[in-house]
Amino acid sequence: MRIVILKSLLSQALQTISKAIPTRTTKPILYGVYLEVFATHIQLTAYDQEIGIQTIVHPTDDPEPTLQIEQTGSIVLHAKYLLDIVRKLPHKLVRIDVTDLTATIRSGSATYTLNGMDPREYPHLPSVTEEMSLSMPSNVLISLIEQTAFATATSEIRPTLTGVLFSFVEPQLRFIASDSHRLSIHSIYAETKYSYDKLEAIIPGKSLNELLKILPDSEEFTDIYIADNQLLVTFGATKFYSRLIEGQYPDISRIIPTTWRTAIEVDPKQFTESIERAALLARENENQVIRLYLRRTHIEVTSNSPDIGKVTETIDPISFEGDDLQIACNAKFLLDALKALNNYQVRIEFTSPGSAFILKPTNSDRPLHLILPVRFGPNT
Amino acid sequence: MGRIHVLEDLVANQIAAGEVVERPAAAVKELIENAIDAGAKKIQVIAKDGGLTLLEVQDDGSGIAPEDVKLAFLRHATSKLRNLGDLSKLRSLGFRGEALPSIAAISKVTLRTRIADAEEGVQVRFEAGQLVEQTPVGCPKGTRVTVQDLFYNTPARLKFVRSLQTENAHIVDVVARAAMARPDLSFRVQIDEREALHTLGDGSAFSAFTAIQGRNLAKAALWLSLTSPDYALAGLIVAPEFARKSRSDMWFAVNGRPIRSVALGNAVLAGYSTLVPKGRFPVVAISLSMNPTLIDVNVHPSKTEVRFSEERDVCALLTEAVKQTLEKGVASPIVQSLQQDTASVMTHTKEGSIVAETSSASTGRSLLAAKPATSWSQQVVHEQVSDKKAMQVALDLFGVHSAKPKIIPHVDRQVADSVKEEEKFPLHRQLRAVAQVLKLVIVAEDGEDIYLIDQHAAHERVLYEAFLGKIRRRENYPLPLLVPLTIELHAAKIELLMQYEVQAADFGLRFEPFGEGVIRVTHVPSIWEGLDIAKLAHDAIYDLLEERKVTAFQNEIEDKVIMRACKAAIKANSTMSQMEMDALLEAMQKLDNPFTCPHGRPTAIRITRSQLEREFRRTL
Ligand SMILES: Nc1ncnc2c1ncn2[C@@H]1O[C@H](COP(=O)(O)OP(=O)(O)OP(=O)(O)O)[C@@H](O)[C@H]1O
Ligand SMILES: [Mg+2]
Repeated sequence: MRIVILKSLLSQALQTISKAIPTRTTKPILYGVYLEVFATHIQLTAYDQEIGIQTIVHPTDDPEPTLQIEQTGSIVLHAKYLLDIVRKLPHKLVRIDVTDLTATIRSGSATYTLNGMDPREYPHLPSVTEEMSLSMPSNVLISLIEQTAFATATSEIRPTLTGVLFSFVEPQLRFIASDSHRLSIHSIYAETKYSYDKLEAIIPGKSLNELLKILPDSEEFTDIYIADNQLLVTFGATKFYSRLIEGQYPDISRIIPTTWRTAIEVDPKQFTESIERAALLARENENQVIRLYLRRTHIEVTSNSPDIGKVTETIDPISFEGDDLQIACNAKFLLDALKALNNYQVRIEFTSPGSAFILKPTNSDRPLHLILPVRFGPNT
Repeated sequence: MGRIHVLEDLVANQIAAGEVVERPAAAVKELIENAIDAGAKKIQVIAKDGGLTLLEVQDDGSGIAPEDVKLAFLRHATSKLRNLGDLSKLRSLGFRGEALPSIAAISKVTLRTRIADAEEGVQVRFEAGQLVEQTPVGCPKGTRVTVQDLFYNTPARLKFVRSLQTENAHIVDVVARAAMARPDLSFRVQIDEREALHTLGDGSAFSAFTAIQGRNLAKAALWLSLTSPDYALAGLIVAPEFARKSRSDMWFAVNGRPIRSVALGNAVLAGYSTLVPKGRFPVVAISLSMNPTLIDVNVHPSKTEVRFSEERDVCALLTEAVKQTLEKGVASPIVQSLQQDTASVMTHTKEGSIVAETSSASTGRSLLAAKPATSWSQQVVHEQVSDKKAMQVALDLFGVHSAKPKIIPHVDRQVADSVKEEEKFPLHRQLRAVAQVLKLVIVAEDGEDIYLIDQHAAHERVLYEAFLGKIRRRENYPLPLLVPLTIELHAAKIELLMQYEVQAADFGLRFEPFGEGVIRVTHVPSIWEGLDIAKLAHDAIYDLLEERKVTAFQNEIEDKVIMRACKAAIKANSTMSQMEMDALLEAMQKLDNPFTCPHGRPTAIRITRSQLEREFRRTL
């Protein structure tokens, strides 16, 4: 196999697939990128068994050549080394020659040889029939993920909670995530090629976070396919595969309160800053607990750490409705939700010190973030 | 006929005099040595109040002839040595003729003894070294020495005695070490009316070890045995995960004499290598046999140190023996019991029968059936059958074992060979990964037993051996640095350093002078990949300069292998696909030592089928 390729093109493709290269694995071939050269294009594949990414590079018609295919073939090369090498190469163009299982990489005056691995040993990507799909602009998918993935559980105690519930009931697509202390929901109206009654899957939060890193922030359409136990997302020349989590996602329909007793509107940036200051001390206590005193005149944010000290800060809400209320909660949960709602004016609705409160944009119910407060203990 | 005679002056003076009895345990040690020297089979020790009010040692040995009894309390009176030449051929534990008079000088001693030919025995009583009573007495064959009010006339010494518990512990320790050195003798220790130790004296090191260190450690012990033309080593070494924080459970005996030796301890540690972490010491009990001319026991008044004439040879042999034993036999630690109390009742009953049966070699088969049929326990069983012979041969070869004069070396060979044949590497069956649990452990089975494998530790071991293999095979190629490192050095040092250019390049480190007082490192050993290369290169170069030895530099490189393995190994809390689990198990199967990680922690726990059957009460 022999190709000449624009360095930036190759490094971008490698960058994309590198999200599916494990940092540590017991199966060394998984450290590799499967590089295939066909007569018309080259294809790069990485598959760590959890997620798989495949991307294709075509020659373009630019006056300056971007990819020149001289001989077809394939090899598996250590992805991290290859990426490091390509990034640092001195010249704009890279030449890769493969004989047997050795790749020679030349650029300008630099020459590297890399020992390759046998492509026949590389695992196959899962097969997903590309029939049933949902289509949406890439940036819409990004917002679905950004609003929810952070709220997934990191502990394995309830495996389904480590994923985001993907739930499509025509015409609405909802993403739901919860670690059982908080819950985040976002939904959109999706366009489908076919009509489905109902489509549900639990996508690992980790996979979505990786996907987030390579999705283009544009109007370009992405297609989402859900098979038995696999997710496939395609965009541009790239395919992203992820394992799905098996199991039944808990029923959340009755968790979201429909009434409220106290409601405030805040500027997320200002509120975030106050909470961050309070959280400095809250970091020291176990649940990072801060307290909110909601009064008609002002809101007080406090936190105290027996070993370090106490902080009190007051802010003026944009609006206040209902009764005074005292509530305590985990500062990190609040910050995560506010960060997700960064671009909105935020409305927070409370019912009682002991029940969940919700954060959402002032004029809409989506996205919506729900947080369970911490009960007032003798020390809070 | 009298056998005790006063030593010639020359001999007496050359034998270092000194404080023989510094604490009650030291008196016990001297008394049981005398009993052993007298050919006793059963030795009983009784102590009260830390040995300060009462110490009594009773044996069934030769006894002392009536005309010799008083002589035995004379300084430098011994039946064991006549001149200096004898000292180098010494086979007895005592040789100075000092113990009895020393003890008698600081306590009230009553000695009662009868030799086989005499109708009646003799009883003598000494107080502060003076004979106060001598009467004929009826008593069994053998000797009983009763020491009352030790240190009563030496208040300074009495103050030095620590808590009674400490003294008790020392007494048990002294007897236990002797018992381990002589598994063919039965020892019993009773402290303040409570039995503190009882060894059967059935000749099995395993049985003595079980009595002393307990069943758990014994189960995890491997049988070590190695013979060279000059030396015979035999003993038990315990799986590395039981290593202790101090050296106190590394026991050695030379020709039946318990000794302390830092050199031997270090030799054992070298054999365990990375299986035990730094600052941990494995539990071992190893007996060395050699011609008495090859050692000097007259180093220290307490006779617990010896000087080897070829210490390096002995140590190298010991290291090798330990290494071999661990390589062929490191078995996976068996889960003790899932249900501690009920199971332990069951094992206890069984244990009784095992201990009772070990005295007869012919019962080896039935033991095999009674215990889980794993390679581990098979080995133990073999040991029980063979160690008695091996040990005996080892002792007999050099005439240590006075009571058993017959030598049967060819039998030993056969036994040793058959043991080797059946000592299969414990991971000989194909492991199948069943599932990953808790993102931490792989559950695997081999059709017979269940294995719980620590994913990180196991992978670490795999990588460690791979990296080490690379170094050994010199597959450690120079890794070019995209941005060369520069290190400032004194001009003279640069000159010195450049002398090692070729050797360093051999390990993959390349450097060149780079202007005034600076060198430039262009390549580093490839096994450093992923580590803090700048620091490693810096350290390696300074080592090279300071020690002026390439070996220092080589160590610097190899030391980093563990670190590298640890960094690259799959972490706990990461999901493993079936493919990765299979790959890991397959790699483990090829390891020299699959069952401990480079830090010395276990990588796998085995639960045997028979254990499960017991736990579920399918069998009893
Ligand atoms: N338990 C015993 N049975 C038979 N003989 C004994 C016993 N204890 C002492 N003897 C006799 O008394 C002698 C003196 O004993 P002692 O312990 O003082 O000296 P040793 O054993 O010869 O030398 P060391 O001072 O090194 O112990 C011994 O040589 C031995 O003959
Ligand atoms: Mg003696």
